[in-house]
Amino acid sequence: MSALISSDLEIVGLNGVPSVECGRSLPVVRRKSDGMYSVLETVADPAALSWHDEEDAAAFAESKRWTKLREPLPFPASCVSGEDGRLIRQPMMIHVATVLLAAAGLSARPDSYREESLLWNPLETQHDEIRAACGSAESVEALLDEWGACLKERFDEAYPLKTERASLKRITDYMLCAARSRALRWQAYLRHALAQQPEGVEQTFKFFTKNEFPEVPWNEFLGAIKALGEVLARMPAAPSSSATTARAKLRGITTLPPIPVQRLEAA
Amino acid sequence: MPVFTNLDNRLSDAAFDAADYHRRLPGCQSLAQHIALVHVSGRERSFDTTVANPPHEIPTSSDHGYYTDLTRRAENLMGIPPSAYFYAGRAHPDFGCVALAFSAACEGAHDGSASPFDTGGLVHPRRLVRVRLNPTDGEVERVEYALNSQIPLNRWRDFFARVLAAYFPADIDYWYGKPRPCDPEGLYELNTDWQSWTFEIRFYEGQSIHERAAWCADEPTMELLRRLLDAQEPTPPGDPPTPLERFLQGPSALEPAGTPRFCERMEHWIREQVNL
Repeated sequence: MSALISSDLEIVGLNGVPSVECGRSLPVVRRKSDGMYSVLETVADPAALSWHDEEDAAAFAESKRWTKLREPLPFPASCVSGEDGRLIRQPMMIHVATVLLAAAGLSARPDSYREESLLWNPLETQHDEIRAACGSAESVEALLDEWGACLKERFDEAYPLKTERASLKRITDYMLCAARSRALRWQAYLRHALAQQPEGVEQTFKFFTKNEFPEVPWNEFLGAIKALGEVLARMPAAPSSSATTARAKLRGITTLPPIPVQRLEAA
Repeated sequence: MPVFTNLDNRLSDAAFDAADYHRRLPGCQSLAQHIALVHVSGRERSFDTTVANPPHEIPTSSDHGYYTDLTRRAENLMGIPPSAYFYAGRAHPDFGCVALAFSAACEGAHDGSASPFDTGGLVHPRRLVRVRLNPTDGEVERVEYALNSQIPLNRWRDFFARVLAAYFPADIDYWYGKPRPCDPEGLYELNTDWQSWTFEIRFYEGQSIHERAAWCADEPTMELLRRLLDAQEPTPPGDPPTPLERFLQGPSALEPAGTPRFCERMEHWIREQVNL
C-alpha cells in the first residue's frame, strides 16, 4: 500500500461529534485523486485504513459518525515530510467552544501553537461558537493541557472569593474536559471534589478518579481535598499572570482611586 | 466457493504453505478459542442512551434506531434473522465512540451465525466488497456466495483457526497484514479493507452491555458519563444501582480518561488476551 501523501489529502472533518466543550479526535480525510474518505487512524500503516465513497461519507455525517468541517483544512506542516510530502506524524483534530475559552480567561483561540499554525474552522451542524483545527497529536495534547492549566488558575482565583458552587463546578467540568496530563487531571479531580455536592464526591471517586489513580485510597483522596481547600481559602490575593482573570479584575478595582462620592451625588 | 471450502485439499496448491499451516494450526486454534468479539457503539444512538435505557444491550437490527435499512436489506437478501453484529477481534471507529469486547463464553447464550467477511459490504448496493463470481457479479450470485459462506455460531472458531493458519502468513497479520490472495473468488485478492477478511459474528438476540469483558471509549464519552453520574443523586445503601452505576460497576474502561484511539487500544487488549 502506498504512503499517504499530504498533497493528495485534505482534512474534511473529525471523527464523532463534539459532545463536550473541548476535546480531540481523529481527523476524517478525503483523498483528492479518487474522492474517497477515511478516518485517519494511523499514518504509519496506510493499509489499515478503510476508505468510503462520497455517498457513505454523507451518510456517516448524517448519522453523526463524523462531523464535517464547513471548509477543508490542510495538514499541519509538522506532520508532513519536507522531502516527499508523506505524512510522517499523526495529525489530530482539536475543538473548543467559546464558552470554555471565556471560562479559562482566554480571549481567542490561538492562531499558532508551538510554531504550528492553527486554522480554526466552524463545523457543519454545530453552532459557530465551536471551532475545530488540526495540529500534530503532540501539540493538540499540550494545548488542551494548557487550557486545563488556565482553568485551574481561574478556579484557584475564584475559590477564595466564595464564588457560587455551580460556577466553580462548571470550571472543573471544563478542566476535566481539557486536562490530559496525569498531574493536571489529578488537580482537576481534587478541585472538582471541592466544588461538588458533598454526597457526590465518593461516587465520582469510586467510578472515575479511582480508575485513573488506582494507587490512591479514599482516605488519602479526602485528605488531599481538605488540604487543598484549606490552602486555597487562605491564599492571599497574588498578582496574576493573566490580566483578564477575575482576581486581576478585582485587584484592578481595589487599587483604583476611590470614587469621590460627593461629586457623584452632586452629578 | 467460500474461502474455507476444501481447505485441506487446496493446501497442496503452490499458493499455500502446507507445512506452515500444519505447524501453526494448534496455535491458531488456541487463539481462535479465546479471541474476543467486538462491537463498536455510539453513533446512531448515543452510548449514554444505551446505558441509561432498558434493555441495556447491543440490540439486533430489528431496532430501527440503531441499525440502518441497509443492514435489514442485507439480512433479507441472505435470509438471516435480525441480528446483533460483532467482529472477531477487530474494532473500527467508523461505527461509534465506544468499543465493547465480549468473551467467547457469551456465545453459549445465543443462536447465531458467522461469515468470514462483512456481509453488509458484500451485498451492499454499491458492491463495497469485491469478488469474482460466475456467471456474473449479480445480486443472485453474491447472495449465493454469502449463503455458502455462512458458518453456524458454534463452529465459527474452528473455521477461523483454519482460515488464519492457511491464509495469513502470521497470526498478527489478521490485524496488521493481508491474507494470501489465493481464494477462487478473489475476496482476498481484490480488496484492501480489512472488513473483507474479518470474521463477522451475528447473534439473533441482543447482547447485554453489562456482560462485557472490556471496553474503551473516546474522551468526550468518558467525560459525558462522568457528568451524567454527577447529575444523579447517589443511590442510598441497599437500593438497586441506577443503570449508569450498574454499568460503571462492571469492568472499568481500558483507558479511564478515554482516548481518541479507543479502537486501537481495544485491539491491543484483545491481542494481549491471546498472547500476541
